[in-house]
Amino acid sequence: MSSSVEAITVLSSDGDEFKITVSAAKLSKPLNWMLEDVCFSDDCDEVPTIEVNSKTLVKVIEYCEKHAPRANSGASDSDAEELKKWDIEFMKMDVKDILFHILMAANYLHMEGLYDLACQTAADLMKGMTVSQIRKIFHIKNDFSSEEQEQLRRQHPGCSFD
Amino acid sequence: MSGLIEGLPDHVAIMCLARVPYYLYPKLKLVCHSWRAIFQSLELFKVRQEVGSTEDLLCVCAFDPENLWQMYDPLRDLWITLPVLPSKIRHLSHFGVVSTAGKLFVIGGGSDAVDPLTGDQDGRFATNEVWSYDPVVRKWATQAPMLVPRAMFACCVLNGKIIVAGGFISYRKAISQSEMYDPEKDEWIQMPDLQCTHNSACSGVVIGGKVHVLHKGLSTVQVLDNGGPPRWTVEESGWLQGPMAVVGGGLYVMSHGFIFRQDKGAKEVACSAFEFQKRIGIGMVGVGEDLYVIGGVVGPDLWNWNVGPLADVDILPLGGFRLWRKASPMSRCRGTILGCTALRI
Repeated sequence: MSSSVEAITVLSSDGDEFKITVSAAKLSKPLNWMLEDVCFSDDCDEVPTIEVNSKTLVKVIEYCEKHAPRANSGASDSDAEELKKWDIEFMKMDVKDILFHILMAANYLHMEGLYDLACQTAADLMKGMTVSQIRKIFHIKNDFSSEEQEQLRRQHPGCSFD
Repeated sequence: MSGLIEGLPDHVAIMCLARVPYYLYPKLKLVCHSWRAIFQSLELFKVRQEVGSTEDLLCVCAFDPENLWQMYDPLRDLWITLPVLPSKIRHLSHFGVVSTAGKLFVIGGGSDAVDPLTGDQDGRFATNEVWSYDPVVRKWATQAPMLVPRAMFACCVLNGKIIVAGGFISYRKAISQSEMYDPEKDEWIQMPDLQCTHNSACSGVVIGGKVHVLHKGLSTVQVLDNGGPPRWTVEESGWLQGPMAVVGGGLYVMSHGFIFRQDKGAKEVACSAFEFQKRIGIGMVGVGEDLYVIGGVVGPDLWNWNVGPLADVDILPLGGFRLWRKASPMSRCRGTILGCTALRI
């Protein structure tokens, strides 16, 4: 084992190479296992592949690198505030294009913090939206028949479908 | 349940939907069939519990208007009126009220209502009927009745199951029977009798994972020992008497113009509650980390001859800086509080 390893190289599902520092990789169990494999095995030539596309992996690594110092040492409250603000900025992204991929990646990589954050972001999106906006942004088909819709409209006079 | 959100497996989609606040449910149920089904499911409630995104809503029933329940959403400081409880008993009071499995349960109770035209007693002292209210479907439903009709009894939730004990079956007869309700099976089963009965109303609280039954005017409590086969044991407690509420696992009692935290054997002042001394018939309940004091009636005194039912709601945050603040008053309910509880959804 070489203790000098500071970063490992991984491949995205698109075949691009990415570097991730050891401390950042510790935020994810599967990444941590890969790390141990790389450190302990004799042939370090093999580059592990992560089933996440490049665009998403960039974001995931960005999150890991930002959160690693706090996760590994336990920082002060002022840092926590700053990190929260950073999270909010970080999560300003397109839903279908990247948020869903982040969700899937966080689930696959067992990253609790990022998973919670992404789920909460998706939930918060629904707050100020109308029903049709929600359908549009989450790509959901309206499968209510016109009769059902009429009935629902009567039951929920305050809510608009449009 | 399938295809909640295109491009996401359901187990991931449900994690997102579980974090949506309750007040958005009516809107989100209109999105599509599968969303409507998931927002009405027990499954979503369970996931909400897992991820810690449950909300506590306050449910209140006051003397006026008759049999009307209102619900308070602390997130929006807003009152919602529930459909009228469809019991045939007019002015149902002295019932038990708890929340479990994401629903509100109104259990037993009775009424001493008198027909204003004939003067006949048209109430019923004690009933065994059980009502549940589903805040997502927004409907009342009857549930399996209790084995024994009762009013003014102890009622609380232990590990998701409802436990009732004691109370009165008629004007003169106090009872010692206790029973347990399983909301998943909709079934009451008999439990061991209380060790002693007493001719006073009793109430139940869960502290340290154990049901405690207190009779008004007695210095003892009866504790349900559920380590082995369940049985009641009598303990000398000397607890303060007064309106009680459990907040964050601790028991709080209002007495002599103060809120006390009552621990086994010892008590300490949590905050002043001087302004409530003139109120009678208040409701007191814990919602999240906060203590709520609700409604009641102000009696006449030297300076004020008005007798008024109140709709006020005062909140004492026990988790943070202990300063009373006012919530929006109840929009319809007022006066003596017949029942109140926190509904976890």
